[in-house]
Amino acid sequence: MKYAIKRFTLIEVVVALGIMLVIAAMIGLVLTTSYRAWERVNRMDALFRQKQNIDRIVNTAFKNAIPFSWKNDNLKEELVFKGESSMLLLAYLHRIGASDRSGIRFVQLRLEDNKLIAEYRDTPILPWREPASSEVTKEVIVSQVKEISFLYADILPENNSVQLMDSWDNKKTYIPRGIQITIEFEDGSKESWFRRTAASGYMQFLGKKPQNVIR
Amino acid sequence: MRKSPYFTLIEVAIAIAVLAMGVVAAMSMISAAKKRMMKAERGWHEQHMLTQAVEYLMLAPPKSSVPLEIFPYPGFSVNYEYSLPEELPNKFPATVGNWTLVSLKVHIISNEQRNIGPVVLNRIVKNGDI
Repeated sequence: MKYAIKRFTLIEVVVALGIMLVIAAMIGLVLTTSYRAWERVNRMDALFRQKQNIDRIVNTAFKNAIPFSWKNDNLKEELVFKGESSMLLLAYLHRIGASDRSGIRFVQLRLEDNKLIAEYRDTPILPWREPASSEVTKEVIVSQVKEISFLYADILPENNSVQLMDSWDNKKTYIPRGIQITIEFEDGSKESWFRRTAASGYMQFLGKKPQNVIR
Repeated sequence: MRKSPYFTLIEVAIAIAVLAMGVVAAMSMISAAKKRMMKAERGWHEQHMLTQAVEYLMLAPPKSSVPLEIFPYPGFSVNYEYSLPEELPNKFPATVGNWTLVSLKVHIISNEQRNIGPVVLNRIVKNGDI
């Protein structure tokens, strides 16, 4: 018994391959576009969450920053505050989560390996001493950071206007009235966060100038 | 009756239609997620700009303008006005001695005249300040 073998002509094969290629290209294009869009959404989401993280730190640490002093190595009281262009160390009031915890917390913010790092401690981080890394709790606030910078606001006594400086004179016996952090991300975007420190306002500040230090 | 081992044109068309519907659904989900994300980001940014302006204005003398270091947003400007506080009971005067309680109303205006805000806060100023 003989079977008739149906073969495709070259034209049919070429046409079928052509159709298959067009469909594969369309599917590939759609999937690539979808994947890129999804990646873009994820990137936006990650950046947005990082900005919300910074909101959290400025609304807790900056807004509740208080003047706090401690005896230095010469037994002279010195303010536990260090404000430089690229780092900040301050004391701030925070909620007490446990009975063995203090209501004052100390935090140091700085850039490390393209990450904005917050180092916390319940006992003073002294600006004149380097704390051992095991003594602090580290938190990565933001990653993919190119640069950070701080600005410190003071009030000029002559006209009560605000003066912004990129570092804080450690001879001052009070802390800045406001602190701003500016973050430049690796993608080129830049954002600033300015907050008044605790109880600071127009002609208002915590303590008495020039000795407005909690003792 | 023996079933044909080949797909009919209708079957292929239905399979492609189902696949296309899946792809369209996935794309619309991504598009909706992107829109929601952009809306949330825009809302956050507007609130952030208002906060920047308000934090500075509450620190500065009453007629100050917000400097570029604090408000570096091209296409947006800070507008504010003072008025006497509303809902202050009659027996409590807004002015006591050299100090007056005023309401500070802050808006952000975009280049397209879109109004963001306002935020209204009470603050104490010296009598001659405003």
